Amino acid sequence: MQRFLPFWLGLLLLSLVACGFAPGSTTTTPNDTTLLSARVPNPRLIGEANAPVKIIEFSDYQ
Amino acid sequence: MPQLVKNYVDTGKLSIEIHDFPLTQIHTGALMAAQAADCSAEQGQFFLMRKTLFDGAVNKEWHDGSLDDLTTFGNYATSVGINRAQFDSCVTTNRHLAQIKADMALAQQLGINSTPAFIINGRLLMGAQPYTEFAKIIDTMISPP
Repeated sequence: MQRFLPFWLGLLLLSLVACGFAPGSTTTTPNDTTLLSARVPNPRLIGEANAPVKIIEFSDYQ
Repeated sequence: MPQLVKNYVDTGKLSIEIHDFPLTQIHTGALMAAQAADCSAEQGQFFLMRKTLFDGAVNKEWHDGSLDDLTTFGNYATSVGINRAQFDSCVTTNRHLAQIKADMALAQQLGINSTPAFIINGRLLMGAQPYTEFAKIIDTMISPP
């Protein structure tokens, strides 16, 4: 039984990856309507979230 | 911005978060551009798309949020290497309109009525500023006199 353990663990990991639950799997999913500013990591932020100084820039594109 | 990133972001002293504030009364294409940027964010290319949108506006590649502009933004999406179908679906279904409205509401709450505008640790700074102005403020906040 023990020699089949790696096989079953591998199968379990593949299943988790397929379902998006595995550690390190992407958090971005199509149709996700969560506010970008509430996501972790925030895709509109550069730098460490706990940096001592934070600039919020409000910008237009024209 | 590159200098700020090099000297402050890369050294762990600063983070920069971009919020949308499309001035829709004078810039009719800005709302769709904001959506294009946010739809690129969900595919991890917000900052590259943002630069592409700014460059495109300077070069007059897009104008008023028309269908032609939508095609242009789709071409930008392809050029920055994101999934075009996912991008098109995101923009046309207004997936991030709630985010844009939340950003605009926050700006109005803070008394912002033009762009660019910056909130630096709660302090409002209006208008485009040279690197030295940002550096002076940031240095003072990191090491108060």
